[in-house]
Amino acid sequence: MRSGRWAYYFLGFMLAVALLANVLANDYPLVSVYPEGVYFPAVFKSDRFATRTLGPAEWVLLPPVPFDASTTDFDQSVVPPFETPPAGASRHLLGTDNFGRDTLAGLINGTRVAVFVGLGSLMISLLIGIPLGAVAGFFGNSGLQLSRANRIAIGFGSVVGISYAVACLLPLVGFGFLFILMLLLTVAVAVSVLWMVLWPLRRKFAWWRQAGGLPVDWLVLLLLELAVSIPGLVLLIAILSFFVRPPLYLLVVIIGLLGWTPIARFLRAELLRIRELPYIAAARMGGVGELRLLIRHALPNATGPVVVVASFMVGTSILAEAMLSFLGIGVPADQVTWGSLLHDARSLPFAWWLAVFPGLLLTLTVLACNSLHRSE
Amino acid sequence: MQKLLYLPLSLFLLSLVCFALSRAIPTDPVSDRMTVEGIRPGLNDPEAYERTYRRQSRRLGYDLPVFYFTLGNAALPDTLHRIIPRSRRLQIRQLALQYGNWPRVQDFYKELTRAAKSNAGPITAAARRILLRTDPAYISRELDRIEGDANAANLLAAYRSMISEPATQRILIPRFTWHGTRNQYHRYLTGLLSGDLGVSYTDGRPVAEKIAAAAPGTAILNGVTLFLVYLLAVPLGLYMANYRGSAFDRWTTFITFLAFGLPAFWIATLLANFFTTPAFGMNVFPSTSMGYGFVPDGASWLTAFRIRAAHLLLPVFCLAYPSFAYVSRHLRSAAIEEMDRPYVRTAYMKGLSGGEVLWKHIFRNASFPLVTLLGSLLPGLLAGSVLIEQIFNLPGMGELLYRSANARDWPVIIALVLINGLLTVIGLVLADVGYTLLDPRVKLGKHPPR
Repeated sequence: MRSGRWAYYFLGFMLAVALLANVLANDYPLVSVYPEGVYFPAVFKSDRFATRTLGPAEWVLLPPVPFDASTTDFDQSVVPPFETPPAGASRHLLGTDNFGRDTLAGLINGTRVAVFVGLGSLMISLLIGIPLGAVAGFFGNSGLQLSRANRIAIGFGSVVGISYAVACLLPLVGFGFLFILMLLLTVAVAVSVLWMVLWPLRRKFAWWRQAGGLPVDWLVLLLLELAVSIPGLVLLIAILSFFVRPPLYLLVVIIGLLGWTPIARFLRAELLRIRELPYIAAARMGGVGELRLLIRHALPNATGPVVVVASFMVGTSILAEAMLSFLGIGVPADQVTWGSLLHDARSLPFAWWLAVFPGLLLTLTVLACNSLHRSE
Repeated sequence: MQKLLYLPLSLFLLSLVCFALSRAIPTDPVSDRMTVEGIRPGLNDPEAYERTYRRQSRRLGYDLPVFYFTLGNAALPDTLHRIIPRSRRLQIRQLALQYGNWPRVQDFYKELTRAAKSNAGPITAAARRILLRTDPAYISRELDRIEGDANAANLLAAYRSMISEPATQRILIPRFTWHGTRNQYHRYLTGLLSGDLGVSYTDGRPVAEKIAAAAPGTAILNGVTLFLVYLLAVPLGLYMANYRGSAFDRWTTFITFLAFGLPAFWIATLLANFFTTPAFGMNVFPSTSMGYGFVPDGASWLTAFRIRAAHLLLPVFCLAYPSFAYVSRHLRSAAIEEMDRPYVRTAYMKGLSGGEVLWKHIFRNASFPLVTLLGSLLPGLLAGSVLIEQIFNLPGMGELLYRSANARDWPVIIALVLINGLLTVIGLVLADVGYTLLDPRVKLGKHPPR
């Protein structure tokens, strides 16, 4: 407990369960052997269609949990755990809900959803948080020294470039990879054109040559301060209620977009400390470029706090997903998740197994994520 | 003062987010509003419906430009916002972007609507079908079908002149239009400032009234919770710090760690299932179907208190324990940091008792995190109330949010987002002001001295 090692084991176990969910709990057998050949219906979709036409197999190997999370069986609804099954039926190890769906299969599917939500939203948060936090922390307000003409060219050029791209190129090509490419290109062109226009002024007047820092830290701090006033869970509920059947990735994207602030904040604070360390100064003396200094020398040393915050955030996103599916908002209704099992438990108070097992898994996951946070 | 400078910007951003949400709703706001207000011009008379629709959207301001300015391109007219049903506007926009030649697109569209309103059999049918789609292949196929018809001559001519003179290059010319204060956002903002949050789509009542009716429940729940959290977490945190390293400290640290990780809505589900329903014969608490409980007329205040307390105990516990764990842990670490300071040793050397040092010297200096936490607890508790109120069936703002989200009652949802955001901002500002009150050395916006 104290070492926090159990948390790594537990999270690794959850990841394995999520990756092997199809093999662990499935309606279809793992291996079915026919005179014509050997099929793996649980793994390959094409084999399912093939075996369906072939009839009964010579012998089959069933998965450990021979049920799919969404398979209903009204003959065996609300079965308590560890009950001996009627003859010819498979055992529902952890019981079933009122549609006869197997609880253990639901837990396994819930693990997959939780891992997808936790890691997926983390990826998005990292994608936004790391560049912003790194640039703000490492360069600060005075790290990028540029002449006034260049600062104006960059600031004004990006505004003009982005506006042009949104006004004219977005309707032309639609949102997508091509648009992002064109956006970057437009910004680059606008900045370069302004740079060329201001060139003669720079040569003539000292005012345009005055050096100063590009206020990246100020900008990122402004963004962080503003993002604080956005109410997370309530906004999430509001946005998800706009969609009739929101796909799961939408939830992941929104949680990820709302979650970049802690990562940027912690990375910034860590890099503020690291950039003052002697080895950075030594590398700079040795002629290492600023960008290389940031990426190869400073960032690897700042991963510690980021990993801690990231694991904490995985816990919070999994919790948010469970809350939303408990409320029945945001997660597709046919997906069985930990939250939806808890939701079912609310209407079946005597079915304690529906309330205890998913909650236990959720708690252990959140605690494991939090104790990575603590063990550092 | 820097933090207070962010305040107007935060509020502006918040209003923008809520405005964007209110314009992005998937249904048509004007016809929704008409349904709520009981305006139902016969649907079999499309012209009367359209007239009423126009009047209503003018009344609600949906014919105004969206923002103070528009950033667009030369292919789109600057009066596009006047075309009112949103679906039709988006369709015309699509056509204009496809062919780039606005006057021709406009002519074609006029002909098309005229044909759709006329009573000319196949032409009307084709025009109505085209009005639902924008892809060029579909339009040309439908128009080919009515090729020979004499009545369709105008329509076909307009179509041919539209596709024969495409000016797609106009999309690349940017255009900036300034609209002034006569726009939807300005109207929305002035409405907000005068307390107009719109009308609920489910029962036609003003949103402000609905929220005002739901607020007291949530306020009581959260007020009691907040009071209890601080009442219990402050002594616990201080004593944990005072006896750090002892068995008491280790156990309470472990328990608070556990409590912080236990999802409150799971504990609430368990408690509600086990102790308020007769499923296991342990229903020591009253059923959740009564909400805050029913106090009969003429009951003494003691009975009233007992009934309310029995209904509030479990929800307050579930709402309080995560915050309780959070606050006491923070206070513990802040107090431990203070205990190594020289002034604490001085106080002991003066001969003050341990309790006096703890409560009079250490507590005051360690209470900074309590103030910041108060700022962040307020919106957090409100978000937590969504689940707790839903589980224990308590009428309040969280329950209102849940019901509105399920009933797709957009005005209420968006107003609740706005209010939650406002509370967050207010909480942060209050925390900042609280710093200066607690410690005169702190200037507003600066960090407290380490």
